[in-house]
Amino acid sequence: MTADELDPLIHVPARLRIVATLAVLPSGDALTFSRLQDMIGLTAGNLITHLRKLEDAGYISTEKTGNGVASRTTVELTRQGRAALEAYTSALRGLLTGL
Amino acid sequence: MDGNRTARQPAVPDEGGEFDPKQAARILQEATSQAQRSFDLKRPLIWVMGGAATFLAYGALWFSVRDQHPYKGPSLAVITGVYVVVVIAIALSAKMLQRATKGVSGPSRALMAGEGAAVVVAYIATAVIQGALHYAGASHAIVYGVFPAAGPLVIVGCTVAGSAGSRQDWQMFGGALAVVSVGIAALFVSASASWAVVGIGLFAISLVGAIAKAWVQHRKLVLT
Repeated sequence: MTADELDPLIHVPARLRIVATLAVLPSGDALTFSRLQDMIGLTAGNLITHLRKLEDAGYISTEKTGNGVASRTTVELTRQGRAALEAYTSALRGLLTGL
Repeated sequence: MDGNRTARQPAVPDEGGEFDPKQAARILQEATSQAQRSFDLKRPLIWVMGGAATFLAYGALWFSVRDQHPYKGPSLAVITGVYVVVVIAIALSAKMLQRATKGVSGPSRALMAGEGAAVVVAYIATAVIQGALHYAGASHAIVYGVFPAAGPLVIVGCTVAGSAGSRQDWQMFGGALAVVSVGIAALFVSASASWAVVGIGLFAISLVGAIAKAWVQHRKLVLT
């Protein structure tokens, strides 16, 4: 097994942090964008870029409620995203035991 | 949105550059650990602190009744002290709950609210039964000793076990059954000893819970 087999969408420091953080929440729970940003420590622009990539792959879903200053965006790891992280962790474990 | 990328395309350099598996494992462990600490209400240290507070409270109750012949019940000063500890514990728990669940929404929040309501109802039921026992003319040893020591553990423990079982949280289910067992054990000792049995039993459960929680968290994080 080689590092190339790791899912490149998750195998990026920022996105790995995002997915690992969301995976700790129970299935079906969502986190607000602002708290996720606080926890990950990225700028809003960077976080949006990474979230878009994960959303395009179906790993997360986002929902925006309200308008203007009262608007709130929540982010949730999908079933597909959880499966992808499990596969990634398993592949990583295999790589590390082979080192 | 980056619609042209597929899930298997390599990460571009500006997204992290060279990123070896060891670094990935470290980031994964750090992020998971940080999120667990941030969201989790049942941290090992909290288990131990809660257990120690419970041990001290029940220890004080036992200390105030240990030489009573015939049994009258804990002194008003000790009961007041225990209520102060309970109020502080509830306030701290509410603060921690607010901090941990900030920005979190979904089914687990609704479930938590339902479980909280069930526990409150179970405590009220315990107080009502205690009143009924007093009204029926039960002895002080029952009304102010064995029942208030053991009753809440059995009634609230069964409530929590039912809730935990329905959502397949077997760790919590086991803990709740252990609490019920301590309550049942306290029903079969003297009124003064029932406070000691409950204090020691709950402290032991808290320690075992803390060790189990720490082990589960460690097991989830270990990648190698």
